[in-house]
Amino acid sequence: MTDNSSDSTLALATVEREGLRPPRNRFVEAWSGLSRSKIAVASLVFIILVLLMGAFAPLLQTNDPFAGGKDALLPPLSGEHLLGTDHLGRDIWSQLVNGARVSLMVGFSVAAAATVIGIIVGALAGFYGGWIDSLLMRITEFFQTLPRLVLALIIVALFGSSVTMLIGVIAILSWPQTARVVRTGFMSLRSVAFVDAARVSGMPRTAIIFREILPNVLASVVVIASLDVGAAILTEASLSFFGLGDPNLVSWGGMLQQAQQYLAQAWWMAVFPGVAIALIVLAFNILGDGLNDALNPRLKERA
Amino acid sequence: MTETLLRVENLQVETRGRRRPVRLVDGVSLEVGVGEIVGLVGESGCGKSMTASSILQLFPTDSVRLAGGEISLKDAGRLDQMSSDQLRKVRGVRIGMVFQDPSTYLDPLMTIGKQVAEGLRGHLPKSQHPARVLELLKQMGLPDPQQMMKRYPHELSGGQRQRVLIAAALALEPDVLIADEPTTALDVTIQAEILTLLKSLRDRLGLGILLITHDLGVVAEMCDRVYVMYAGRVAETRDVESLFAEPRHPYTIGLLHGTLSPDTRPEDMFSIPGSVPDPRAMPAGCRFNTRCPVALDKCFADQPPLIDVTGGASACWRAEEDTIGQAWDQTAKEENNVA
Amino acid sequence: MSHESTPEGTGRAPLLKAMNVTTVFKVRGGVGKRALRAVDNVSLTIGASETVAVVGESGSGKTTFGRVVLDLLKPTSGRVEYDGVDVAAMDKKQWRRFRREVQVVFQDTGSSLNPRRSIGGSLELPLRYNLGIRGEKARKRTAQLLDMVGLSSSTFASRSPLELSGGQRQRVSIARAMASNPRLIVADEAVSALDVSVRAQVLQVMKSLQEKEGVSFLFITHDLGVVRAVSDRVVVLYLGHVMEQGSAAAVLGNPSHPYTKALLAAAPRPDPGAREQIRVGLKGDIPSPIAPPPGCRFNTRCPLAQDICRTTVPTLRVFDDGVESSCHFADEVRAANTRTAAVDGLAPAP
Repeated sequence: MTDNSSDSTLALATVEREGLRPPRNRFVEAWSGLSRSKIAVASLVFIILVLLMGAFAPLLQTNDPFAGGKDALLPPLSGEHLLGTDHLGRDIWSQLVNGARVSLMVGFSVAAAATVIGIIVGALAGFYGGWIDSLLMRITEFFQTLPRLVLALIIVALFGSSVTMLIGVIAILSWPQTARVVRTGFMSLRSVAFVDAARVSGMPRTAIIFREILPNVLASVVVIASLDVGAAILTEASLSFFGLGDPNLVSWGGMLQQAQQYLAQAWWMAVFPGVAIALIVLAFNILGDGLNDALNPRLKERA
Repeated sequence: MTETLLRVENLQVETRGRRRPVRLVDGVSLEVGVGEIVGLVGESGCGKSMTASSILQLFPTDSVRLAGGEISLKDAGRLDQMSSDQLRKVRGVRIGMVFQDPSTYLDPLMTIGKQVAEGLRGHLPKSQHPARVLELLKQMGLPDPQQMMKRYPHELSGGQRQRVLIAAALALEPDVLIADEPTTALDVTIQAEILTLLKSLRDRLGLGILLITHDLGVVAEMCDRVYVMYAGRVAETRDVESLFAEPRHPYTIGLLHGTLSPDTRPEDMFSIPGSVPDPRAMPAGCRFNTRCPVALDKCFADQPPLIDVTGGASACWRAEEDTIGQAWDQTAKEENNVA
Repeated sequence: MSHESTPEGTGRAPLLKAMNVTTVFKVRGGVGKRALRAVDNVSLTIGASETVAVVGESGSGKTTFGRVVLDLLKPTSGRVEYDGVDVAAMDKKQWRRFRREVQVVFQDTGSSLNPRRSIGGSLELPLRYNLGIRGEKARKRTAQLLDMVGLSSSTFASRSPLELSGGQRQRVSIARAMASNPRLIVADEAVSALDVSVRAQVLQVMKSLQEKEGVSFLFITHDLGVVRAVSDRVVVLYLGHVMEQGSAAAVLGNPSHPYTKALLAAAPRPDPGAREQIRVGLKGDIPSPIAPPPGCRFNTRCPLAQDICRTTVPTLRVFDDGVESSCHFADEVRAANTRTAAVDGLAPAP
């Protein structure tokens, strides 16, 4: 019974203003939205640079990050040590580029795992409702209320502190957020007309979940995943800072942990990894926001 | 012709933004007189809602702006030249507005009494608010107005909500009411009630009403005069009897034939072929030319102005032909094969 | 083509038979849980190549009934028989056939087609899942379907639904419904959101499908103008109950229920001359289906209501022209029709 007259001129006006077209390619849609915000583009560029830095770490490092030496606690710009050395004489720059690798790997792995688990749980809960939803939501809530540090301590105590364990622990703590977002999306879409039409077309339920509804929910998932990467990097850094990280790998958090005692004498040991963590997390948050604006456009509200 | 309350002349509304502006309303003129119900009728995208919004500059988005024309209100002057502060003194006080979907215009967290009273703030001392609200709700035919004031929107039916909105719009006794599709979202039996209410308000209060709708049946029921809009312009403006008895624009003729009522015989079903031109790429000449069964060569070259006919005017090069209806019948019926 | 209101008379088994269908929802209303009888004891039949219109306003239960017919919702009681077999008792093979042969066209709300799929992609779903057709064969069939509804496949198959107008989208929905070679299409407010000048186009496509392909339609609508244009028989619903049903000509021309008369009177006519006639408006608003009035559900708004209406649910009266009416005063309603033209509104009670 709705008349679309005001809607269609309104829609046209917004299309003209925002330059929006309905592209079906998600990448094109994301890019055209992102490219409007200079800071979002800057964040994306920064992330790519750090990715490259991590990828090419062995080439970029000037020294073996584990190789100590006599030149301990050298300040930045001391000869070949661009960013100085730590208390064991290890080159800070080399540690930084290798740490980038670890941080990003952890970040992306966690986001991937959390997204997969979150999608499965959220889709089933949101689509079926009823007791399945209640059960899955209780489970989700349980995982959400787990104390991070205590869990990490227990896991490390039981299974040792390898980077895989770390990824596992952080993923366990991250998936509930994705699950909730996916669940909300499914709850609102499960009774939409085109889903009913799909049922009437004979589409089996699993196909409907993953091929009809999920693609319409992915926009929100992508945003959460992006924020997850940043959050995971931060969590990894915190856990490493508390000594629960993988001792065989260089990580920014680990660098911070070791820098604690030397804060007064060697500020560079803490500042460089600290700033790196802050910037990368910020970049992922801004990217997440930018993706949200790009993929979930809203009409401007009346003043 | 009664005394003119509201006059719009050569209104232009266009998009604003990074790209080249697109004209959504292109030279629309209309008038509303005291005690008149004037219909503004058209289909999706014709610009009727934009026209209504521009009178009080209440655009639903900042993607559009008033680009030209004059809007004058009796004893108030040029509305198009007013600042926001000045317009605030007109909105609600001289011109009230009612929209299509009542649920989106009522705050779910405020009682009915509070919402209707909101408009009275600054105009009537607070102590007099409850009495005035009560009076308004009674006027609108709402049952048990005392109780109604304490209820919340979700407790009301669609028809009741629309009555509340009309009450709010008329709270400060404006002379003009702009009603944008006020009954489209309502059930047909409720629609009949709301339309009867609007008519009685016109009779009792001497309101001038600008009624925007897409339904020619509503126009026939309610309006004294009609403006038919197409693609951002006025195609025809007539008094209601002349419009229905002897339409002088092929678009109006097509619309009338396309309107289905319980009296329409199945074999008389009709639809206008083609679709409305994209405002970004309007054709040369008359905007209706590609869909018009009686178009001449001239129609593809020059845009027709409004040409006077009995009871109004029509923007058609063939407006003055008495036989335009028959010419239409002949050509259109041939082309319109019931598949 | 006009049919008698009871297809049993034609000697052919009806395509679809709804028998005493009732759906009850549990809703939270006021204190604790209450029962919402959205559809209450509705029975109707649809024959081959027939269009049956179900008319009603908000709360009439017409959309819920449509979903039951499509087996998107199970009735709380009563049953639906398709080709003589109870849908709830069908074996896998029978049900898959039902799924193919009963299709739907929804209202154009912008979400009847998946915005993330191209038009061709949406059409390929029923081909793939209902008929098992894929690949090149599916693409060919998609092109045929689009041509059938008057849309050029080369232009439209790859477009997104957002690029189409309302009328075009509805034609795509019809094409999608036709993809499975249905025998019955449920059209739920299929033309309500469309512009006036486009409605007839879409209705004409559906009419030609009925005539050429023998498809039946269950047409759910609130618009009596549309009912007149396309239906053979009409069922009038109010708060989940059947108020009246019969052939379109009989129900619209000689209504046997005050609610039908009110609907006919309320529909605004594009004729300023008709304004002056006495239109007895209905009092009050449509009651909530959660707390329906006792006795005849229409009693709170009916101009003819008497005490009996407030206490006793009317029994079904069947008249010679095949019309069934659920009103204590159906005779009086019909008698009043002969005194004034029926479609013009209720005459004052004698």
